[in-house]
Order: sequence, then structure tokens, then C-alpha cells
Amino acid sequence: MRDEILFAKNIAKSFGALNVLNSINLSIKRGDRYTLFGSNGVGKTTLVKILSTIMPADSGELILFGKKINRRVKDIKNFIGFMSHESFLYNELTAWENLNFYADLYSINEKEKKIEDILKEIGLFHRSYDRVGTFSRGMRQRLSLARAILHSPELIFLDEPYAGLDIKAQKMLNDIIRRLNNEGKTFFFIIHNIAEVFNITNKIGILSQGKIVYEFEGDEKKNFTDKYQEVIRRETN
Amino acid sequence: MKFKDNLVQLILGLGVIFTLISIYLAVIFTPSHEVMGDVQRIFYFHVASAWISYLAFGITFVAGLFYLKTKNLKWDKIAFSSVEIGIVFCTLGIITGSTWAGAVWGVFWIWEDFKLFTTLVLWLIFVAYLALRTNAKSKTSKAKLSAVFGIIGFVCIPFSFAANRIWQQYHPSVIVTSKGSLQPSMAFALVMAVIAFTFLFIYFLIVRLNIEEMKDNIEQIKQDIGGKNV
Amino acid sequence: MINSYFILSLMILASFRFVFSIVDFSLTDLASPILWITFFFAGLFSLSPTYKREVEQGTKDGLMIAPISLSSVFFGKLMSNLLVIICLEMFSLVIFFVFFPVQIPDITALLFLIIIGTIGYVTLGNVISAISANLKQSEIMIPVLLVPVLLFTIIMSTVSATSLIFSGANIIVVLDEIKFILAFDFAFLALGYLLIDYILEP
Repeated sequence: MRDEILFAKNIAKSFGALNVLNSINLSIKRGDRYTLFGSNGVGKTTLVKILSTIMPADSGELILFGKKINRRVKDIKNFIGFMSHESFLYNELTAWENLNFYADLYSINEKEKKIEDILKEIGLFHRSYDRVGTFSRGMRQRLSLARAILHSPELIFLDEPYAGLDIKAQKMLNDIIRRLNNEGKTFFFIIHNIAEVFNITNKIGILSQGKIVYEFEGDEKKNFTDKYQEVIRRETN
Repeated sequence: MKFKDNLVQLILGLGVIFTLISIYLAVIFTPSHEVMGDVQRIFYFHVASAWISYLAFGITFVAGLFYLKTKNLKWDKIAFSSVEIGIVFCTLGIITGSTWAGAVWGVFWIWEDFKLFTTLVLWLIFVAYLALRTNAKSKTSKAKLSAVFGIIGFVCIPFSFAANRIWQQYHPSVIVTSKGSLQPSMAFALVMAVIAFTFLFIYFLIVRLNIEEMKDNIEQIKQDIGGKNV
Repeated sequence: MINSYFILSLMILASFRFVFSIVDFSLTDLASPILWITFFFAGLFSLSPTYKREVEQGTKDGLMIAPISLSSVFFGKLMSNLLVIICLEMFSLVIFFVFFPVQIPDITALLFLIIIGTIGYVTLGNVISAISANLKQSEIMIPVLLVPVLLFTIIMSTVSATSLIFSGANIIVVLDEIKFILAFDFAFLALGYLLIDYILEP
């Protein structure tokens, strides 16, 4: 029986008068490759920021690794990795310096070796001493992924990880995801194009109008397209 | 927050009544000042204006603290409505104080008068607070950052006051402070003026909050019928 | 980038030198204000990118997700700012003595005052910089927000104490002012520590 890593109950978030998340309930087990799907602007990034403890929810309960999450929590962040469309990289620093900075923030042991390994894995080792400002979009994306997994987090959030990646880089990303998942890491994807992760994911949730309206596990995935059409129909009414 | 119309009218009524009373007291009832003469009569409204502006900022400070704790936007509304009205009273206080200074001392401004000085600092903080709100990026960040700045500003008011006093110690100058003694009738007139302005302040605050409530309702209606929530 | 700050303070002092060559003035009276205005305005430009950069480059969330307390971010940035600005001030001080033939006062007292005054204004400046980073027109908002809370508290006390030093006083004379400035320093540090969580959190 795999243990539950993330438990969210009745999570709600509003920005002023705009209610984005209504009542979110989620349960993610160790080793899951969960995909969150939904239309533009529905609140996927907001939800992921709440689940990864970047942003506090207005109400509701969030339990990560068995610990209840509140404002003061800090140590849990060691187990969380986050990659978003903002690369979290400093343009004036080199690739190496960026990873070194985050290695220090996470107090990583043997950081030189780990940085070298990960730079080699994402194929940017030859650019270690170049400023990130000179990198292309795809290179920045790859380095951002490296930054997200540098501290070997148990739960990894990836927001649109495939955006801007060429075929080679997409394959590299899939290889990394597969390797980490085999090591027992858990993934949470936000994806626009379901085809990108259809084969990798084992659980899909559709976010619509502030709630997770449908969830598909394992074989139920095949019902996804129909149900999603339904959701779109409901949203446009 | 809805305030009963009757209550609001009552407060306005009291404010008007007390204002009329204090005008009578200030202009007719109280005797002329022994040194300054009739010009001194503005003193009652000058002091009342200044005190109300400090009260207003005190409300902003407390409302800011409550907002940061509860994240309920109603506290933000109270905070900035208080600033909007407080700045009017503050401006009045400075203008009346300056006029009075001009009539009595011949100069319109004295840096050494710590009351005038601190009120100017308060005025600048009010202006900065409003500038901050104009440049905020979203409703929640506006509320949050205003609350933080309100706290910083409020803490710096007594600091400015103290800094000015210390500075005076090191740079003494010959200033005729024209306080004199406050006769009982004058003290009474002053208290009346303060009460009058307090009621007026509360009235304006309630009206301002009601306007905000109406704005919110309009936005809600816009959202319901599909308009863009700006 | 830091070189530009040094050149800026040189330009500010040169402007003062030029302006005051046209007008008669007493150097000992004006030395302190000239110096502190230079420090303040040159320092403003160092304060501005401290938090704004993080917001612009999107790295702010990167700090939020790391297992560090936000107050450590605050103190880290504060210390780096202090280092840069104090170096800037030492440089400006030298230029000042070159441009203005003022009688050299009690140097230890002067340096001590400069340092404690700087700690105060850089601390509050950092808090205001964090606030402004989240506003439109951030560069303009920093002085708009900073002047009302800073000028009449710590700047006034520091300028007045410094001018006394320039008139020949030694440190004992300005002891009261120094206690005050230290009290401000402490209060601003406490304010920063308490409020930074609320400012930086999304």
C-alpha cells in the first residue's frame, strides 16, 4: 500500500472578489504521476502554487508528507521541487553559479558532484560557465528542470515542462521523469496538450470552475476525451 | 458593511449641531486671547483638525493590522477611507496653523514648532500612502502593501516627533511660543470643536464606506452578467 | 553596475560644487547636508534593484519555494546593500574632501555616525524597496514612500549630529543623538523583520 504524500481538502482561494478555487480535494500517493488538466485561466497555476507551498490558500487543509501545512512550515520545502514557466534563474549568473546558489539554499551535500552530474544529464555541461542570459528558451527550460530536481525532491511539480522543448529535449525530459519515478519520486504535471503525457501519467484530474470535476485513474484514461468535451460544454454555458 | 440610514443621519445631525455650537463658542462666547487677540480663535478648529487627522491615521494603522491578520478586505476599505478623509482634515489643520502662525509670528512656517512639523510629516505620509495605492497591481496586493506601509508610517510619526525635539535641543533658537494660559471657557470651546469634528469624521467615513460597498455591488453585478472585472 | 553608482555620487558632488561656487555659503554649515544628500540619492539607486530584479526576472518564487525563512532573505539583501552603500559612502567622503576645502573634523566620530546612520536608512530603504518592487513605477515609488518616513526621523537626526561634528564637536557632545539613531536602527530592523513576511508573500 503506497503512502499518501499529498492530501488536500476543501482548498479555496480568491483574489479579491474573484473566486478562483472553490473546493479542491486531492489525494496523491507516492509514485503517482498525476496530471492536472484544464482550460486557460481556470486556476491551474494558482492551485499548483498552493500545493507546493509557495502561496497560502484562503481556507482548507493541506497535508504534505503527513505534516499539516501552515504559514510557518519550512522544512517540508526540502522535499518539494517546482518547475514553472518562470525559470527561477538569474540572468547575470552562469549556469553553474545558478545551480550552486540553489544548492546552497537547499544545503545539498557534495554539491559540486551533483551539479556536474545534472548538467551532464540535461546536456548543458559544456555551457556551465556561460551566463544564463545568453541561453535559448529551450536551454533555460532544461536548466530550470535541473534546478528543480537538484535537491532530489520527493514530490516534483512541473508546470508545462514540454513547452519550448525540441524532440531531443522532450525525450531527455521523459527519460529523467522515468528514472526519477522508478526511484520512487512522485510527479504532478500541468499540461495543456494531453498527448504529451498520456503515456506517462497514471492519474488525470480536470479542473473546472474552481473544482476538480473528474478524475481518471489507470484504464479510465480512455474516457478522458469524452468527459473533457462535456466539461468544455458546461464551461461555455 | 451596511450602516442603518437612521444612524448615519443621526451622526450627521450631531456633527452639524456640534459644529454650529463650536462656531458660536469660538467666535462669540470665548474671550479674546490676552496676547494674540481675535486671530487666536482659529486655534480651536486648527487643533481639532490636527487631532482628527491623527485619529484617522490611528484607525488606518489598526485596520491595517486587522487586515494582515484576517485578510478580510473590509479592513482595507476602512483603512484607506480613513486616509482619504484624514488627509482633508490634515490639510485643513496645516492651512489653519499656517495662517495662525503668519498672523501671530509674522512667518507662515516654523520648523521648530514640533506640532506643525509632525503634522506635515503626517500629511506627507498620507500622500505617500495614496500614491502607493494608485500604483498597486492588484486588489489584494494593494490592500496588503497599504497595510504594511500604514504600519511603518504610523510608527514613524512619534519617531519624527522625537527626532524634532532632539534636534531642537541641539539647535536652540529664540521662538516666542504663544501658548499663554487656557481659560476654562477656551478649553470648553476646544473640546466642543473636537467632538464636532469627530462626529463629522465618523459621518464622512461611513458615507465613504457605503460608496465602496456600492462599488463592490456594481462589480459583482458585472461579474454575474459577464462583464470584465476591472 | 556598481561602478555606475560611484560615478553617480561623483556627479552629485560635482553638481553641488558647481552650484555652490556661484553662491556664497558657509562650508561648515552645509557640509553635512551635502554629504547626506549625496549618500541618500546615490544609495537610492542601489536600493531599487534589490527586490525589483527578483520580481522582474521571476526569481522571487524561487526564493519562496526554498527551505529558507523570508527574514533570512531580508537580512541577506540588507547586508549586501550595506556593504555596497558603505563603500560608496567612503568613496564619496574622499571626493567630498577633495572638492570642498573644509576643516577635517573628528574622523572616528564622523565615520561612526555615517555607519550607524547608514544602517538605519538602508534598513528602512530595503523594506520600502521590497514594497515598491510590487508596485507600478517602482523606481519612483521608492523615494515617494521613503522620504516621509525616513527624512524626518533618522536623516534629520544624522544630518544634525554630523553638522555638529563638522563644527568641531567630538563624539561626547552628540551622544544623545547617537542613542536616538541607534534606537531608530533597532526599531527599523525590528519592523523589517516583522513585516517582510507579509510583503514578500504572494
